[in-house]
Amino acid sequence: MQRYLIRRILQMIPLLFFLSILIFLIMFLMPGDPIDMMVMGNPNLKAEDIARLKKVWGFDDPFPLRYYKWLRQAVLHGDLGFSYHWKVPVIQIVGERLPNTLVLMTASLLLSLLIAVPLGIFSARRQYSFADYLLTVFAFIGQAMPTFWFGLMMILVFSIFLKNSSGGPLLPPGGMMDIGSTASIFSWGRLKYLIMPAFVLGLHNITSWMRFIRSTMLEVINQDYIRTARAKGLKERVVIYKHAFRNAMIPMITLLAMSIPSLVGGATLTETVFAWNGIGRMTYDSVMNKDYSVAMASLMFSAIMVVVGNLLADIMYAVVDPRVRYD
Amino acid sequence: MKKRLAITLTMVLVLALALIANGFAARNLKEIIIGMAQEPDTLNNMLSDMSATSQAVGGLTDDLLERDANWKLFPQMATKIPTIENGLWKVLPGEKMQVTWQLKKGLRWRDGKEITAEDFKFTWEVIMNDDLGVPSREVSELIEKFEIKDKYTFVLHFKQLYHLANLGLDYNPIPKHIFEPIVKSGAKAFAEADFTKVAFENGPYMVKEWVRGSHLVTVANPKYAGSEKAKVPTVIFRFISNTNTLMANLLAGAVDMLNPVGLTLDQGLALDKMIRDQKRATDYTVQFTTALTWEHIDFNLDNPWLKDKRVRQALVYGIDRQAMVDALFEGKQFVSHSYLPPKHYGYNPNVKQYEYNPTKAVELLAAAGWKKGSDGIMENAKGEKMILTIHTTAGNAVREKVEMIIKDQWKKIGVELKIENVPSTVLFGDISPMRNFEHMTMYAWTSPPTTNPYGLWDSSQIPTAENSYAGQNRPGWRNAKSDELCRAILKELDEKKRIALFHEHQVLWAEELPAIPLYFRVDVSATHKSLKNVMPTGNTTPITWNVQNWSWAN
Repeated sequence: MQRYLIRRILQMIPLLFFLSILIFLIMFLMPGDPIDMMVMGNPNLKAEDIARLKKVWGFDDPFPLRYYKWLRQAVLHGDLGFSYHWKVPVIQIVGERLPNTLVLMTASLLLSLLIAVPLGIFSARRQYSFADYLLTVFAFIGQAMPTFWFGLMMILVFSIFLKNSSGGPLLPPGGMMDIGSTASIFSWGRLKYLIMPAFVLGLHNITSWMRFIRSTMLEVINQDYIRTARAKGLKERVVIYKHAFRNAMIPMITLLAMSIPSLVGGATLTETVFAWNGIGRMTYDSVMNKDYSVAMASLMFSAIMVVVGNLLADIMYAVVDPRVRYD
Repeated sequence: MKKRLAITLTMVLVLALALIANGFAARNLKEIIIGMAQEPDTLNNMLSDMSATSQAVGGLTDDLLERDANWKLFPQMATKIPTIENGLWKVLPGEKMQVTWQLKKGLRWRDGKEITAEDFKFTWEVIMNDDLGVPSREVSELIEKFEIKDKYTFVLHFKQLYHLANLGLDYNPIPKHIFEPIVKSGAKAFAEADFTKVAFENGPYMVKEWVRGSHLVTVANPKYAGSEKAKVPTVIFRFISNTNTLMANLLAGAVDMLNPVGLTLDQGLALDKMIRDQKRATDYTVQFTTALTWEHIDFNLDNPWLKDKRVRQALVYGIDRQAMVDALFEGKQFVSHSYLPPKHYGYNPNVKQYEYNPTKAVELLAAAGWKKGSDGIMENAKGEKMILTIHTTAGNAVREKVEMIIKDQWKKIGVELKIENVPSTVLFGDISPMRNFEHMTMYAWTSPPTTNPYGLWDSSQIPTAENSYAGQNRPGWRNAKSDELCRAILKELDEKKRIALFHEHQVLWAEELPAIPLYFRVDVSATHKSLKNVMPTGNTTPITWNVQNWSWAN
C-alpha cells in the first residue's frame, strides 16, 4: 500500500505541471486584456497611456516569459502573485474566500448525506411502494432542475412570500452574515444564511445519492448473508444498519470522494445566486477579467482537488473493503 | 415506528417555530443600505476603472469642483471656478495658459490634518509617475509647471491651449503625508495600499469596515470641514452580483435603494410595472435617468460598399428605430440622432434625422448602383450581393434583439444581414480596436460629460498597424472639415464659440453618418419612497455625489 501511495503521489507532479502550462496557455490565447476593457469606458486614453499601463502590469510579455515568471514566483518563493483585478496579494483574496467555500461544501455534504441516506434506505426497504415511487419522481425532478433557477425559486418562496414575526424575510435572500456581525459560524445568526445555499448546492447530490443508495441497498438486501442474519434472530435495525448498510456504502465512498471536486466547481452558480463569497465566483471573475494570478491559483486548486479526490477515493476503497489490495 | 414518527414531527415543528420567531430587525433609520451588483476592486480611485468604485467612493472624497444632477459644475474644495471672466484663467502669448486655484481654508483629511496646495502637487506627481500605472493624464500631462503660491493657492502652467483646463486634475487629491512613504516603496506598495486602513478620505463619510464579497460600511466623518455634513450616520453598500437576487433583496425589504450599478433595464421596467400595479414593493420608486452611454453601430468606412455615403444613409433610413425603442424599452430609452445626449452642453437637436423610410432607402441604393436581384437581395454592377456582417457582444440579450429587428427590417430593402456575435473580450480585445471587422460592429461608448469629438472622430485617431492601433476612430472616418472642427474645439476657450463648433460638427456627422446612432441607455435606480434627496446623474458622476444630503422622511 505504501509503495502504491508513493507511486501515485509521484505521478501527480508531472501531471499538475503539464496542467498548469495548459491552463496558462489557454488563458493567454483568449484575446483582450483588462487594459483593453478599460479603454471602452474611457475613449480618451491615448496609445502611450495604454502601452505604459500594459508595461506596468506586465501584460506585454510573451507567453513563455510570463509563465516562467509565474512558476518561479509560485514554486521558489511560495508567492502566488498579485491580483490585478482586486489589487491585493492572491493569497489574501484566496484566503478570504476559500474558507467560505469549504464551509458551504461541508454543510452541503452533511445535509445531503443526512437527507439522502435515510431516504435511500427507506426507499430500498419499501421497494415498489407508493412512497418509493413518490421519492423516485422527486429524485428525477431534482436531477433535472437547474441549480440557478431552483436557487431563485427558493429565495422567492422563503424570502419574499414567507415572512417572519417582525415582517422581514423568513430566510435571508442571499449574503453570508448580518452586517457588522461577529457571531461564530455555529450560531443561528450565521446558520440561517447557510441553509438555502447548502440545500440548493446539494440538491443534485441528494437526488443522485438517494437513487444510488437505494440500488446498492437492494443489491445487498437480497444477498444470502442478510437472510442468514435475519434467520439468526437479529433485530431488523441491526440487520439493516450493521450489515446491509455498511456493505452498501462501499461504492458510496467512491462517489463521495469524487463529489468533492465537483462541489468546488458547482458552487459557482450557487455562490452567484446567493451572493456567497466563495472561490467559485472568484474563479469565474478572474478568468473573465484575465486576472492571471488569481485564475491560475484557483484553477490549479481545482485540478489538485480532482487529482487528490481520485487518490482519496482509491485509498478509501481499499480501507473499507478488505478484499481490495494495492501494491 | 410510531415513536420515530412522533419524534421526527416534533423536531420539524420546533425548527419551524425557531425560524418564525427569529426575525430581522425593523428598518433602522440611522442607516441607509445600498444594493450593488458589482463590488469595487479597490477603493483607490486612481487605479480602478470600475464605476462601482466611483459609486462607493462618491461620499468619501471631495474634489476641487463637483457636478450636480443637472451636470452643472459647482465649487467644492475651491473657493470659485476659475474662468477667463474672473481672471483666474489667463491665456498667455505663445498659446500658453495659467489657471489659479484657491482652496477653502480649514479643510481637513480624515485624520484631522489640514488640506493644502502641497497635497495637490503631490497628487499631480503621482498621476505623472510612469511607474505607478495611473491611467488618465489628459489634463495633468499638459501641465509643464506646478507652482505653489502659498498654503492655499497654486497655479497650473499649461504648455498649450486646452478647453478643459479649469476642471481640476484628472483625479481627486490624496494626502501627501500618508502616501509619500507608500509611493516611495514603488508601484506594488501603492496598488496594495489597504484603503480601509489608510486615511485617504476628505469627504463627509469615511470607511469603517469592508468585508470583501459581502458589504462595505461607511460612517459619518467627524473631521469633515465642508459645508454639508452627513445627515444619516451610516451608509452601507451590499454587494450582490446576481441581479435577480439583488431584486429579491429589494422585494424582501433587505436593501433601501439600488444604485445604477444594479438592475438591468428589463428588471427596472418589470419592477416599475409591479409598483404601478400595486402588486409588490409599493414602498419603492424606480428612476430612469438618460445616461451618456451611446449604443451605436460602427461602419467600416474602408469597405468599398460602405464608402458611399448614400449606402450608409439608405441603411439608416431602412431601420425603424422609433418602433424598435418603443418595442424593446417602452419608450424609456430614446432614439439618438448623433453621438451626444440632450444634457451635454454641446448638444444640437437640429441635425438631419433619418425617419423610417424604406422607399427612400431603396432610391438611395439605386443611386449608388444597387438593384434588387431575382432573389430579392440588392446586387451591384459587379454582380456582388449586399450581404453585410455585424458583430456584437454574445449573450447580451438586448443587442441580440436589436440585431434581429434590423435583420428583419433590412430584408424589406433587399439587404441581408449575417449575425456573428463574439464574447466581449474578443470584441473589445481584437475585433473592434484593431478594425478587424468587414462591415459593422455594435457596442456602446460611455463618456464623461466633458466629452468632445476629437478622440472618436478625428482622422489622426484611426487605429492602424503603423501606430500600434492607437486611437478610437474605429469606423476610420477621414473628413477634412470634421478634423478642422475637432481640433478647433480642443483649443477654443470661449464656451459660446465652442458650442457653435459642436453644433456644426454634429450637423456634418449626421449627414456623413460614419456610424448608425441607435439610442442612449438609461441608468436604472430604485429608492425607498421615504429616502429623500437621491438624485441620479446619468453620467460618470456617481449617484452618491450628494449622499450626505440623503435623509429619511418621518
